[in-house]
Amino acid sequence: MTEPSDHNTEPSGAPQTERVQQAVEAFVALHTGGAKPELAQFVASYEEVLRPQILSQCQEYLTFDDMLGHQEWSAEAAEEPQGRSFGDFLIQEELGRGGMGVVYLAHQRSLDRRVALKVMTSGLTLSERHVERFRREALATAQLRHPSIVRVYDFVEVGGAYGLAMEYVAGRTLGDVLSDLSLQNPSTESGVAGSLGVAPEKGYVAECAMLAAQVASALAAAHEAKVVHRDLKPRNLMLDDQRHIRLLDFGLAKSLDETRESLSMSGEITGTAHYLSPEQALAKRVEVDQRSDVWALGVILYELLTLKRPFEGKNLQQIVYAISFKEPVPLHRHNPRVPRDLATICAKALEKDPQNRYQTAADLEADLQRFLNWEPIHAKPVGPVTRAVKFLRRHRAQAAIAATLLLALTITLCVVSYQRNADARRADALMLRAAACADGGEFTQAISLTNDALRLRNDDITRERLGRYHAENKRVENEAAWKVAESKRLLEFDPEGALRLALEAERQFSTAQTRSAVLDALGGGSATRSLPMLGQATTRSLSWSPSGLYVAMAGSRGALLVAATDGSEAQTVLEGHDPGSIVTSAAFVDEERLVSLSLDRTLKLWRRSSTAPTKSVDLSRYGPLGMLLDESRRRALLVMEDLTTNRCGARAYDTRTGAPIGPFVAHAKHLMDTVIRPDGNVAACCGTNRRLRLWRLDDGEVLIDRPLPFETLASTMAFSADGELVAVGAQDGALAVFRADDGALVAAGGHAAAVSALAFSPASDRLLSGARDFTARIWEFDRAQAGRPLREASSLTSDNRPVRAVAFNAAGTLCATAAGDDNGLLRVYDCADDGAKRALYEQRVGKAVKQIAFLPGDRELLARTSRRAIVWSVLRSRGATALQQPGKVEAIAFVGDERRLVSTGDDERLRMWDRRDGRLVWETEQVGLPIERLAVAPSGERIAIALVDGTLALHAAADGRRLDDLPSAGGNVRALRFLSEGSLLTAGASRDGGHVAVWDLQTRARDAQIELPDRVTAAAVSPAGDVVATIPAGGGPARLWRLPDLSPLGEVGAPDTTYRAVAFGPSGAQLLLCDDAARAQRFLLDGTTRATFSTDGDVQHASYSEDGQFLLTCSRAGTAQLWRCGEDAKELDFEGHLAPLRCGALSRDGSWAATSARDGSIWIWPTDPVEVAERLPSNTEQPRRGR
Amino acid sequence: MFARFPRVACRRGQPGQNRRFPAHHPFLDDQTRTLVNRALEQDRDAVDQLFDRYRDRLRSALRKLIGPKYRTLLADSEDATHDAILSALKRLHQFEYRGEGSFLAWLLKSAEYEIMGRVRALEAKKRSATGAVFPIDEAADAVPSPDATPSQVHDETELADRIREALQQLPDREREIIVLRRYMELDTAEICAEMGLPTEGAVRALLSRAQARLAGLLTRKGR
Repeated sequence: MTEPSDHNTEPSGAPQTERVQQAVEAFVALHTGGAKPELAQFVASYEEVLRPQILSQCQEYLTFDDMLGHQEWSAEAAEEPQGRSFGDFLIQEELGRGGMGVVYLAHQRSLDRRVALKVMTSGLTLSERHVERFRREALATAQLRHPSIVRVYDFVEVGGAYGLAMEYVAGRTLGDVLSDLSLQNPSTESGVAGSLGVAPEKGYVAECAMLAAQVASALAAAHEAKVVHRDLKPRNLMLDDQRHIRLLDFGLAKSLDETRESLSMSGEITGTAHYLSPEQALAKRVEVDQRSDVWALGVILYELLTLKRPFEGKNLQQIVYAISFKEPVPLHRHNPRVPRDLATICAKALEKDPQNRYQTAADLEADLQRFLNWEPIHAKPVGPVTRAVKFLRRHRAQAAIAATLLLALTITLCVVSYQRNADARRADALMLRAAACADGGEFTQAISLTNDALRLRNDDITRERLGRYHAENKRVENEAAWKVAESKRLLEFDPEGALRLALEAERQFSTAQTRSAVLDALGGGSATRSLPMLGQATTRSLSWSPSGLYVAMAGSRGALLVAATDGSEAQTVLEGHDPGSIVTSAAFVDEERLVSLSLDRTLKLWRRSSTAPTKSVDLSRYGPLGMLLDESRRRALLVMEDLTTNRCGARAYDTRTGAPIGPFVAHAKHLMDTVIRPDGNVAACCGTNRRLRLWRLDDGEVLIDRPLPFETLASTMAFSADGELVAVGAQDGALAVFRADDGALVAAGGHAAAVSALAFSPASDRLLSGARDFTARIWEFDRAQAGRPLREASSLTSDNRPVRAVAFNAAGTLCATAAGDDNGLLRVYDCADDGAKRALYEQRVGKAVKQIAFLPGDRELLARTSRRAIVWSVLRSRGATALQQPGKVEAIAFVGDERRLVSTGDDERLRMWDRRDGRLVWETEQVGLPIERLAVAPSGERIAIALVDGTLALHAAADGRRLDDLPSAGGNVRALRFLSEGSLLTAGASRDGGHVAVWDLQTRARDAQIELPDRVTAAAVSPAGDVVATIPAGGGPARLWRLPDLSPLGEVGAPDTTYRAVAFGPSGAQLLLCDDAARAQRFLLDGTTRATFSTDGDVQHASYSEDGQFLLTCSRAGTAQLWRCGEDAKELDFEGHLAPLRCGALSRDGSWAATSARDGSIWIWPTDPVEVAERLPSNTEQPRRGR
Repeated sequence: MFARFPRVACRRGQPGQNRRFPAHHPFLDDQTRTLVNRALEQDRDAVDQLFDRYRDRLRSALRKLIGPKYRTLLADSEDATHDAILSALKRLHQFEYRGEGSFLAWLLKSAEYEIMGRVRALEAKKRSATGAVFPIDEAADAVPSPDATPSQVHDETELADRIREALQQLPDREREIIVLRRYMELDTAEICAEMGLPTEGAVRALLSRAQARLAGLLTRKGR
């Protein structure tokens, strides 16, 4: 099957280029050989057409040679020895080795051309199968004609060895290009810098798409010829001189026509693992067709765009598992510059099921071309159903409101048109007031007044006025709606701005939406303020006075600054350090005195009030690196490099006198981290010598010097608060805790990537670690044991950002993490419970946060980036407060003075929270079964609980102590209410049906009980305590019973409706029933309907506030809605929960609402967020809203 | 917690991967291989030794490679080249992935990326809206080349840029041989060993081919 050599059929004039190349090579060889040929003469010996090119290239070579300094080969350079021969081919050089054989650059003598010659490895025992495969590659490739597929010239056999002669492509494999690019781009988070050289002017992403389109086109041609490549990978793609992509190595290619037997043994994985399709990886050989190539191209496109492979693993099994079952990380997360359409194309090529993939490479190419031409692509992003459903849900709520408004308007107009003849003077007065209101921007008021006037005097002028007010009102409403939308958009990165906008909208046009937006913008309760910056200098250290009232900031350019943390402008610049060097650390000794260390090799002592140093200690023998203070702030440990020995170590100094304490103790060439024991007597460090050393500061005596059990260097250290433990983290994520007295290893564990920060809890019983694997973890250990693994108590995720700093608060109840390399993310978590948890509070900072700490008082978090420092008032509850407990939260209730909230649920405990700061006041032991319901006695002193099996118990509200057990209610209790201090009502299931019972808590006996055929799913007691309403499980109307004897009173509601929630109105004369079709209805007790309104989703719980102001409904859709009583007008939507709601509660005065959900979240939020927002300091100066 | 100290160890690759340098790699002499392996295991001394071994060669090669513009900006600052070589050494684990090719050429390329990263950062700063150039250490104080007119410096800079770009596009082995011969100034025998070529004749053939192709790429760029 020898290919006739016919240069004229070559498409791009390649032989001409080659001849020029050979000519220049000859010139270069002569030149370096020292021959110095005359350029004009040399060129003249070549054909006319080639001369200009040869001339210019030779000139370029001479310039190049000249620039680098001319070089000649040494004179004794040997004659070129003859290379090996392979039939017609003269082997010149090895180009590479593959699984099948060696590829050489060879010269084909008969046709005088350069070829790439692939020779089957001779050492290999050539089985039939191998030869067959080799021949097949030749056959398969020879069939193909495409500019992007490397051509096969010849298949030769020489003395039992086989060779394949192919077109020689000078260029680089895509694999090499990719490894270069990843060398250039350690991170692709801000796009990829560099170029594939295909079309640099169009940008990298377009280049990727063009390159993928070229490959797709080549694949399409191969598929057309019924050849599947099956081993597409970057190493098989060459970028040639002309920057075209060329597809090589059809070694595994298979003809689509082939029958199933033959070649690859069934199930044998032959390709390179990363680029295998799921059907290849799972060795479903039957299904391997051209769509596997589409997959592989998808993988290559992904890798081009992100410089990371979509499916990675440590070994073949893991890679195969990832390919088969895991979804790749979304493209834009690695490289946000990738347009959505291209990501969609890539995702479609990477569909696990071949049916959902592009069916042919041609389809893929077409979509890539569409993308490149800015046309709409055919692939659809996933998840349109989800989006559509969400949209409809939103839409329905808006439609309902619009309908209500329209109805109200129509009614008003009707009423107005009825009363034509009335007192004109009253109408004039009303019109005047309306005009005044309109001037003040209060169009709703103006409309209402004009409507009144219209009722009295219906003329054209009034109608025209009304129309104008309506139009104005509409405009204001639209503007407010826009502001609400904008506020939601801003929320992510500018909470303050979002709040301002929401408040403006609220002032302009107060609706449930604007109020909800204010509540949203108030957020999970936090405010930040910036501390003064160091001007042009970068900050290197931040420390605070013992009271937390002042901070000291130090940084480059000799900058040192003292400022107040309350956000005031007052600041003192301390001058004295060399402005050309960096102040590495500064710290408060007490409220008044400071100490600072600078690279100008001085330690300076200061007073806060005066700008000049009180003392300067010369450290000229040393190169200062950093400074640490003990807890009492009496001693400063200076970490320094001894300039005479070039070793790093540390020495302690008295912070008040500047006098050295003990000797300088050198440790290693470099120190990875150093810590001082809180009592100031011992220091510990880890260095490049991979040893942990503890020494006494007073006399320099080394207490412990032991090797570290890590494979890599240490990265960070921490001393426990009691000084008995030292934790060390390593650069590969390993963690170890050592005893400080004998150096024994207490426990070890670790992260998946470098540990960046460590902190012990104040009780020294837990260790918090942050790492570059995007998590912070809380570990538990038993210090009495030795060499045990660290037990992971919690894992705190950080939104795919490496964690850089961690901190505990002084009480040990909260911990904070700072994550992210350029978009800093601060999060505060509750340390009280275990397991993976959501952050209580979150704050974004523009830059990477270098240092965080809770200020004394635990309510504020200090964070420092390289340019600024902020104070974040974590616990100043602005809006909603989030609490978290494990499992479903079935019941919550406000207790007594409204400052406390009790919650219970699946985790079998009762918990009492402080409403104001989200602090856990107490929690009980586990009771052994999930708790279903709870009720708070009218005095607020006792709490009754019902377990899932019907067991009843009483607990003290003050401390959660168990007071009393009651006999079992006989079945699952669905409603639990105190009728009075000594009387409790239960309703729910019994053995054969349902029950309602009244208990006397003194005698522990039932005063009254009735058995019902159906289980009771919900019940409500009237405010006066004289009627109870129950809802039967099978559907149908609610039943009313008289208390306390439980005699039947009647039924309310429709027979064919299933009700879910029931509540008595504040007067006790009306009953609210919520059905399973998102409908709420108010009835009189005689069964007549008073009002019907729609809720957002099935209501699980409904309750009225005791003052009769609000109704709270909690739905399975995850929203809580607050309604104004009597008007059934929505006051607020609260959408903080991410799971279906279980329970809700309103405080007695109606100012706070609490809601709980299936995911264990509890939110406490204000019912008047606007009032809360206006009380905030930053908003006080703004005018009151007109409402 | 008040200060972070300089980190000087090699960055590790993905966890769990064996980073030992393969013993069968044909192109490294035993001593280099031992040093590289020790450096991969975070041995600071090995990094230092490797650094000492290649410093002078790499520095002069870097100067040639990045031309006079950057020389005035950066390269004359000892620190910049010093840092670039050190950080290249710290990325040793990436070399293994490529599995083939010259260690020296890789080292130079890696150092070149480091220094070009600094150049880009510096240029971006120069362009920044404030108009003020932040002095990064002492580097920004451009030292004019003593014996060249501005236009000469410009021409030479442009040529260096063009050559660097063209080098990027050469097939790996061709680029390597040019780098080893013309920038690192290795002799034929050394190149034979470094690149695993069979004979000195092969070195000459490859170098001729590489330089001719480079000249071709330069003409294309120049037009």
